Amino acid sequence: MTQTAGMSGDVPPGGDVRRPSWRDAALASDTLLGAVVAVAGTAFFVSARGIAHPPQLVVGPGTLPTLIGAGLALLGLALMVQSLLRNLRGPLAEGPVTAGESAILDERRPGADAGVAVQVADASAPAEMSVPERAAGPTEAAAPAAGARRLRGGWRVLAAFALFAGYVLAFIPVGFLLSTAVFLFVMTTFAQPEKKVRNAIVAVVFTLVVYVAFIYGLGVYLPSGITPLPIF
Amino acid sequence: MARWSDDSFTRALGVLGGTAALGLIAGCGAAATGPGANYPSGPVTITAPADPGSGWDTTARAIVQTLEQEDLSDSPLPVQNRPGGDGCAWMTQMVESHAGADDQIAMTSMATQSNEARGLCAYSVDDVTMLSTLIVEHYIIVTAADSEYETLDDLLDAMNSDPGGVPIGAGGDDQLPLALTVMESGGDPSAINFVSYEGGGAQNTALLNGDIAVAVAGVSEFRAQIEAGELRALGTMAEEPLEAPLDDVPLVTDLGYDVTIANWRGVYGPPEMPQEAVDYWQAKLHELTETETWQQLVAQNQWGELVLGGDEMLEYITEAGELVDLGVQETAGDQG
Amino acid sequence: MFFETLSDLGGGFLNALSPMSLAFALLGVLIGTIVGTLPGIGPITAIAILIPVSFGLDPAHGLIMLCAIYYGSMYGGSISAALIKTPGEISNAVMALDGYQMARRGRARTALATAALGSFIAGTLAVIGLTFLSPVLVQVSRVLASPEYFLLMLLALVLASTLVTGSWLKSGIAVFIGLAVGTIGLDPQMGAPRQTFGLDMLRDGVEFTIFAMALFAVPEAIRHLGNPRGFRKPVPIRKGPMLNREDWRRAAPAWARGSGLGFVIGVLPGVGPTLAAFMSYVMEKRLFEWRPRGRKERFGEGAIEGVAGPEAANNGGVGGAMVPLLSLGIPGSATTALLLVVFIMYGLQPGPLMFEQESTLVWTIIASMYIGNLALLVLNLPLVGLFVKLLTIPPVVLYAAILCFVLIGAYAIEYSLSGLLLILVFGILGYGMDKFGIPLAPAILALVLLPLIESNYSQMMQISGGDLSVLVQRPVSLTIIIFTVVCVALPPMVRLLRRRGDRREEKVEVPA
Repeated sequence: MTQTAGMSGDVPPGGDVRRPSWRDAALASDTLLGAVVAVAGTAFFVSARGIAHPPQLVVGPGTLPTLIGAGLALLGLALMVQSLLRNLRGPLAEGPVTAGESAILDERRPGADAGVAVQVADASAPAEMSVPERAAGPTEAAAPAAGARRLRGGWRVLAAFALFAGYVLAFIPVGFLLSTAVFLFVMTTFAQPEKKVRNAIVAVVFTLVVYVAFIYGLGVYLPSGITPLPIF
Repeated sequence: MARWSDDSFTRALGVLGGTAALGLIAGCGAAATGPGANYPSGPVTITAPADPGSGWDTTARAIVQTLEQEDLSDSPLPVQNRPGGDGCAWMTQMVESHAGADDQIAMTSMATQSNEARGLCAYSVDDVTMLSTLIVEHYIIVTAADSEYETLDDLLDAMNSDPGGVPIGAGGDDQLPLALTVMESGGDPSAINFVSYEGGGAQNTALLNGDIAVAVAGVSEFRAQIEAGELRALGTMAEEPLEAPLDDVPLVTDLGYDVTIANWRGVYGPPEMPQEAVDYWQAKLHELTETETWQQLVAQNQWGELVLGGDEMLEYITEAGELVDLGVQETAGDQG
Repeated sequence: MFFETLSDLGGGFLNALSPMSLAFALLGVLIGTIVGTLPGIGPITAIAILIPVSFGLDPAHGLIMLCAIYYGSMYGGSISAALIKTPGEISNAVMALDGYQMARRGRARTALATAALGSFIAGTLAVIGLTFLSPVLVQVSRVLASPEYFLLMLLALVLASTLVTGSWLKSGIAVFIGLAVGTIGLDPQMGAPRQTFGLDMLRDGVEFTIFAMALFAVPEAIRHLGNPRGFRKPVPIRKGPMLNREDWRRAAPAWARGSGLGFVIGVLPGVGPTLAAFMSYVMEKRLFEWRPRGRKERFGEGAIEGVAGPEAANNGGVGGAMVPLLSLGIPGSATTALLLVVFIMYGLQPGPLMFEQESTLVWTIIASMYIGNLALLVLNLPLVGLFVKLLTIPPVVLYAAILCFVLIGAYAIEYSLSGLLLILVFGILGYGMDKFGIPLAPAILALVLLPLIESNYSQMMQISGGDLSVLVQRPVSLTIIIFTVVCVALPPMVRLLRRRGDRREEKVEVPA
């Protein structure tokens, strides 16, 4: 599921026969992804080159990181080139494919096509649940309605990450009890605002039960922070 | 209880941990205070700055086990594992956030000194309150039973004529004793072809599969294999002969190389630890080493005893530190 | 010889079998299952906590309990991996692939029962293997040195990129991401920090469990919480027998293959159960795609073979890891190192002489392991129905709670902010990777393998003085190279042959 859905970003959705431009090809999600990976790999490579190599060691602390950084950069570059070529050829072009790709195209199911992925956005079967989310690559500007909906979804995911980040940062200074209870309530209410009472009960009960179980049952220390009552 | 709640986070951790450990082990909930005594008035956390099962962890748990089984302590003594940077992470915490505290003690060893010598840690034993050394792990040089090196001299000759051709399995601090021995024999320690292995298990595997012919580590790593005749001991850097059945392993000093070095292990408290707490722990730690439980644990783990406190201890540690500095310098050669 | 061994084993069972020891086995399995379920809190923590408790016990009882914890936690990790995509232990990471997909399709009971039965079968076969094959395997392990280990790890990496079907470029990127993350932290030779980019939280490197939790659990939870209406309610849990006839027919051979593969890989030091599970998954995937006819689902979407094989393999790996521990006294992994500590605590010195000197106790240990294994099945099979009740919790509550558990787990590993921040950072990375179609599982395996690749590579090069030709001069390493080439070249060739066959509208039988 992961792989097939991810590939949908390669091809502009809608299946229109318009001739692909360099701009589309450059903005295709895999081209951008390849570029990001290539840059990250290069950064890793440059940083690894800076690691001192003691003369008595054949393989120094920097040897493998250097190779890995270079490999990552090259793979990113390869993905970029592959995506550019593929998108320039256009979604319908049936040109000769490289050896490695033929395998992928072979195993691709019709259902994983980008066009279909957009349609199943809301009524997707459990197996395809994450497809709409995942297909939201930079190329989707072509389908405005779906794109706007997806953008809204994107903001919600971003907000969920932000809430989680707040929890991560508050966990130690604020303490487990308070930060967890608040996070649980806010997060569940963010997802299901119509169930505030249930969310509040769940937040308090879950936090207390987990606290007691971990502290007394497992001997795991949890931060108390500014929350009083370290011990009942 | 509320008394602790407004203290620093880590201190509260200790309280939580103390209660948790007590609840778990002794089955009783609240922290107890010592009858009549002013110290300790609450739980004291013993930190093993490494993973469970490591040398530091085993020693920390042995201390707690002895204190509890011999009824030497009424306070809860939670053991916590705080691995990181070969002990450096926790020592930094002790110096920077626990200075002056009386409810924290931790394990340390010669590795701390070599960390400092290698420039890997800003703090060492001089920056904290050393309470006591407890045990030593003696170093031993071993070779596969079918190897061409019959004696230490055979090995040193081979190493000095073709350093690159004799790979030696020894990682980190285990390199020091052999480096010092090579130096004594007139060779160049920085030319030794050291191959790093993570722990005795990996060294044993490499000796048995022929990767390396020689390895250096603590005695306990190889004892079973030596007894079984899989490995041959070429020498130990101990001052006195090892205990039976390894009592016939030659001492490196007896072979004409003036090298005695052993990996000591001990307990420290934070800097500026209150004198009351320092006195208490020095006395307690020495008292516990005399118990039968401790003696049994020492024998089972094949540790050597090294119970030192006060000036005697500082002198020993300083001397070990100088050897470490020398060994690290020489092994690194001109590179530093 | 054979009968002597058998009677020794029988004697061990007589010693180990008593109502008390069964009680300790059940207790151990229960504790193990619980800590195994919780991410970040694993058998190492549980065993370390219980060592002082077990010290007061009779050695047989103590060992039974600790071994039972080990087995229990291996199984517990698969429960959380299958139900909430949060592998409790790194060796259960594979369960988050097809196991999780089975649960999504209402087959959670089948997945968990398959895992429990697989664990039991592998445990049984491992005890038999331990009893009769130890001497042979010990000899085999002596032939393998750093060049061979290095190549085996490379082979595993190559196979890792075939874990998930899809673009080979993206799988390759996933592998290299895992490798890159693996090099972050203190380098194994000098002990100095590297590739930390000046960040304190990267100084000690990235723990496997944190990486796996962040990559699997966090994106999944965030995706659900960020878009609760876009997701349908989970398929209700199917009633009826846990495994139907079809399931039995398909799982049984996978159990057997996984057990054997796991046991053999477990013998290799340092890799053990995790690699065993991943490799078994790769093997099952290849076999599945070889003959996919008559199967409704695709591999990776809830194929029972993808659960049965790996879950047997990781338990087989535990048994395999006991071979070097018991017969050579050499621990291959952190957990076996801890068990070594326990043995020493009971006055035992595992090693070549232990079978002679302490034969009664050794056979008691082996029998104890088996009893722990049996207790696992006895306790957990009936509890499967209870575990899957977890899925009836409203998804929003469940996924928010998962984020809490993940954070507690990360905190329990190092008790520092670093672990928490790593969860966040790699959670974001995992979300991005998933969104762009970069598979997650190969990255996790690569992270696990990197330390082994690096140590064996640097050892090999240090010993040979930088001469790579050792790789082709040694017969065993040369064999591994040839095998790797075949592994890489075979699937495309088979595919080519198949396509030709399809074009001609006739079946081409490829000899297995």
